Amino acid sequence: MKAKSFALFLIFTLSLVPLYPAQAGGGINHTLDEALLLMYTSDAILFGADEEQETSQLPLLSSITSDEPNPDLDDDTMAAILQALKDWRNELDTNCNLLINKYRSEGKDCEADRIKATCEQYRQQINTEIGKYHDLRGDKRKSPTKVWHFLKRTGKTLWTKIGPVGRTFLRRLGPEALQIVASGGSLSGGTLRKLVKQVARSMGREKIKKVVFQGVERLLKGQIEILQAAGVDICDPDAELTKEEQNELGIAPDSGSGPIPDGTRWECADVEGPVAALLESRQGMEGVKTNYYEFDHWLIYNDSLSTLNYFYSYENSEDHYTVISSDGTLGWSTLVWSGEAEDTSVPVDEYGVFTVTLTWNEKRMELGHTVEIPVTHNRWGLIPPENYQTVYLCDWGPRAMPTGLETLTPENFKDRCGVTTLGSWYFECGVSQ
Amino acid sequence: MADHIPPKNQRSGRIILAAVLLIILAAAGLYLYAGWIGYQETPKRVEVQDGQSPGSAPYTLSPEQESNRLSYGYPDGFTILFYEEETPSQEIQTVRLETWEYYTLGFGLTFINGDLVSEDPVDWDSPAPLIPAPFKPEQFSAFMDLADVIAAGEITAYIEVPLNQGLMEKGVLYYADSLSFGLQEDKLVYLEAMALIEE
Repeated sequence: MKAKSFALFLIFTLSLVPLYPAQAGGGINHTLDEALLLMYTSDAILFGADEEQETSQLPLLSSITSDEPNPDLDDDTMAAILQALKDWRNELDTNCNLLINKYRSEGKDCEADRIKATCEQYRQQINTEIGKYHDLRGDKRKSPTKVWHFLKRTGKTLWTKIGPVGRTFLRRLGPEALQIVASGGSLSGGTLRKLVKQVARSMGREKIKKVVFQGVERLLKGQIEILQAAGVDICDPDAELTKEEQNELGIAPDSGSGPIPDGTRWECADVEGPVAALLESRQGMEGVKTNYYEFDHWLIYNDSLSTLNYFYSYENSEDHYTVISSDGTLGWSTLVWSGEAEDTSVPVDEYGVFTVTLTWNEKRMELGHTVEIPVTHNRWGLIPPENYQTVYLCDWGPRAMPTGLETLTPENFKDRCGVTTLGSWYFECGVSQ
Repeated sequence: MADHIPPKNQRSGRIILAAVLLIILAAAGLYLYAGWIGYQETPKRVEVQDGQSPGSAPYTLSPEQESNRLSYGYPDGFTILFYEEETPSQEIQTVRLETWEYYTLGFGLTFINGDLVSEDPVDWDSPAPLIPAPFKPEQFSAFMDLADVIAAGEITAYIEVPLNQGLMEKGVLYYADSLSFGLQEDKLVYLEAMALIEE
């Protein structure tokens, strides 16, 4: 009977130790989420320190003298984690909206809906985590958790004395982390500098947005691809049709193999080009109204010379709410900007690769004034020898032409081109009937 | 023989004494265990006692990264995330997602597995002199362990911030000179080399 009581006592005692959920395995040991969470938490610790300094103006960084741990450090870490989770949720919302709008603008509503659902799942997971951390902090802690934290806090002093050499506990988490990063690895002096992203905080946030956007986009696209590869018909039933079925339905395209007929003309679609970038950047922007974004972009093949006639023109118009007279009156003004360029002899090499440097003057007209801005853009493209039906085209902006273009394929083209808002844009050009 | 059998109340006393001792031992064990967990979870500063050579092979820049390095030099600062993802063929592949920031040139580049995927403007106009991070992206490769990161970055002192187990199992953040990085299960998954400015 007594043995049973003792066993029950042990079970009770051990039950005071919080048990945490094991990491979901599933074959993947390190997920994007975990890497992002570390990035956000790191930022929250550094920026938290920055805010503390700004508000209190205390010389926190020079007051590190004791080896004794600060009992509030656990709470500092918790606070940073909570902030990181909130930042993560905000960035996720922003990036999900960008992705959803991007897919909708491409007419891929099904993919957009799938992304929306996935984003909502992520959001709920993060909210659950946030709720859990609120419960773990301060007065909301449950009694067993409080006991456990008390034991941890009091018990670690002993280990401090007998732990490995070269280790000291921190007194202030954020300021000391900032100190070591910004002063040449020193905690006891050295020239204190500032982090670039500390000075321009928006820059730090922008960088995170970029990383998260690229990562989330890749992750969600990957999930869709996996479903499609598994034969799950998620969005585009036509894409699943076999060639025979397409023939039966009369929708099979020309195979596109063999020599390119003289005079073949391709019309280029702005897949992730300037118009897509404009649409994305204007999303929800106040003080800007879109009138129209128009462009004409085509290629014609000359078989005898193996060259292309390349033509590109555009004209965009927006209304902007701005100062419209010298006395400071605000109102709507119309901005129209346009440009046109052509090269009638662009050589195509044996790999189907071509490069062209286009120069033109962009005309910008607003409030009765016109200015001309010289523009030079390098573009490169691929007419796949095995299928000339689709030409892949990249606007590389003002950067020098890349090397190694002979290894371009339809599969790697988009990745090689990249998608940017600064001048690297992606087009696909289909044979016009 | 009967003299060797302890009286019943004496036996009970011994059992109670043993139980009390066990309880004290269990309590002491729990206290030590909790203290050890607390010690491990508490942020601390560590001075590296002896330098080592990195055991992991360094990363080789992709042709596109090499081309940008030749054109613009090494970035002023950079961030790298390492993670795994499943491919349509159900294989697990490692992804290296990195951003290179050229503050003084006014742009940043994002690479995924060495392929340039985006180029974005960076609005930087501070008059103060900028000190680029004293690191190169190729010094760090996916899932290095702590010893390798320390060796690769020639780190002499760092701050260790273990994360709460509920947030991430075996997740630890580290801060060193111009550097912040995170390991999960002793594998490098996040690293940021930060540019500084003179005040």
